[in-house]
Formats: sequence, structure tokens, C-alpha cells
Amino acid sequence: MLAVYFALMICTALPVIALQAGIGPGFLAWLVFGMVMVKSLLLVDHFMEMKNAPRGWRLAAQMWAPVVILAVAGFHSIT
Amino acid sequence: MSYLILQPESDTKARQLPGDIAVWIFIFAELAVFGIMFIGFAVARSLDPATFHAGREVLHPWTGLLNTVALITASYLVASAVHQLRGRHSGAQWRLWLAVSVSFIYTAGKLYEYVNLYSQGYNLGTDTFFMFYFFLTFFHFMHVILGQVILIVLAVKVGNGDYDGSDMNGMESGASYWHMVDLVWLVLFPMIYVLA
Repeated sequence: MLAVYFALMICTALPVIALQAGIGPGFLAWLVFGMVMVKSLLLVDHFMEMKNAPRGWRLAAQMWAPVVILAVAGFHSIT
Repeated sequence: MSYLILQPESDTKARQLPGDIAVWIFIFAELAVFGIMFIGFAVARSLDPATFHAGREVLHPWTGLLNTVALITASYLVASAVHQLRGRHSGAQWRLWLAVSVSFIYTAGKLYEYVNLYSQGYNLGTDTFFMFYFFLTFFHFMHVILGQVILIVLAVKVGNGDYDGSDMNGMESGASYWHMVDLVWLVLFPMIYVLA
């Protein structure tokens, strides 16, 4: 569980460090979307303990962030 | 003749929803509401990216990062407390109190940010970005406050010995709510502080 915690911390810090480093907005956006998806899956499976939940519930919990992120990314890409 | 009957026993035995099903219905309803608001934010941003970029420049990403670290740390402590309690080990109560304490970094940081922005003249009516910023973050802030109350109740009940390793329903339900608050922030933070 400590490993999951550190992974979440690294995934959180990466986009902010990239932003401070002046990375391009296009790459930054996709980095952020990717990190959010990874973090949400880690949180749902390990902290929420949905990895042991019935498959439908687990899938619903896992899919919330990716569905929202994909919608946000869709609108982000048209600007 | 003997037959080997293969049954997915361990799989079916292991698959249980943590906490009460009613809490999970509530959690999914909350996630749906937040999801719709996030998509609303993305639509508004796509219509007026310049306003959202200017608004994001006013915010401090380090404050948002500190809040994220506080919420993830609190989530880790809550998950760890559940593990301790389930394994009938000691240490669940101090983990919950520490989670409450760490979560106050978030509330303090958010209040500081609100006061700072208001003193600079930013409010709900400033522009579309700040309307979404105050509405979304304050709505989430209210959920964090409720989560803190739940964690305090859980810590007191653990201290009273109300939860043992066999009956974890209340503890798991409260913990799941707290993790939901954290999950929402994981999407909210980069959307407002990094991408906008």
C-alpha cells in the first residue's frame, strides 16, 4: 500500500513539475490526462479496495475517471 | 472413480463490495454530478479558452499540489487504518486522527486561497472561469468537510471498540466516501490548476 501511495505522489508531481519546466501545452495536457487515469485506477483498486468488489461495481468505479477525462480531453482537443 | 470439480471458490468468496451498498449508490450519484459539472467546465473552456487561461494564471499550482498531497496522504492513512482494523492490529485510531489532521491542511489551504482571491477582487461573478472555479471547488470543499466529520466519528468509534475485524461495514463505508472525495479532487486539481 505504501508503494501505491508513492506512485500516486509521483503521478501527482509530474504534471506540475512539467508545467514549471515550461513543457509544451499539448504534451502537458496528454501527460495530465494519462496521470489522472493511472492515479484513479490505483486509488479505486487499492485504497477503495474495489479490486475485490463484484466486477460490475469495480468496472463502474474504475471507468468514472477515464470517461470524464475522455470527455474533457475531447473538448480540450477542439480548442 | 474420483472427479475433480473445479469451482471458482476463491474468486466468488473474495468478491465483496467494501461497505454498504446504499453508500455506494450515493457515491456513484455524487460521481455522476461531479462528472457532469466537469464536462460543463470543459465545454465552457472550449468556448472561451483565453478567459480560462487568464484565470488559471492567477491561481498558484503549488497550493493545489499541496492540497493534493494532503488528500492523498489522508486517503493512504484511512486505507491503512482499515487494513489494521481488519487484521485486528492496533494503530487504526491514530491513523484516522492523523488523516483528519492532514486533511485540515487541505481545508486551511483552500480557505487561504479563497480569502486571497476575494481580497484581490475575484468572485463568482468575475468571469466564467471563476464562476466554475468557486462553484466546483466549494462544492468539493463541502464534501471534504463532510468527509472530515465522518472520519472523526470513525476515529471515536474505533476508540470505543465499536469495530472489530468481523464487522467492518460502517468503517468501510466511511472510508469509501473519503476515497471518493479524493478521487474527485484527482480530476479537479489538474483540470483547474494545470489545464485551464
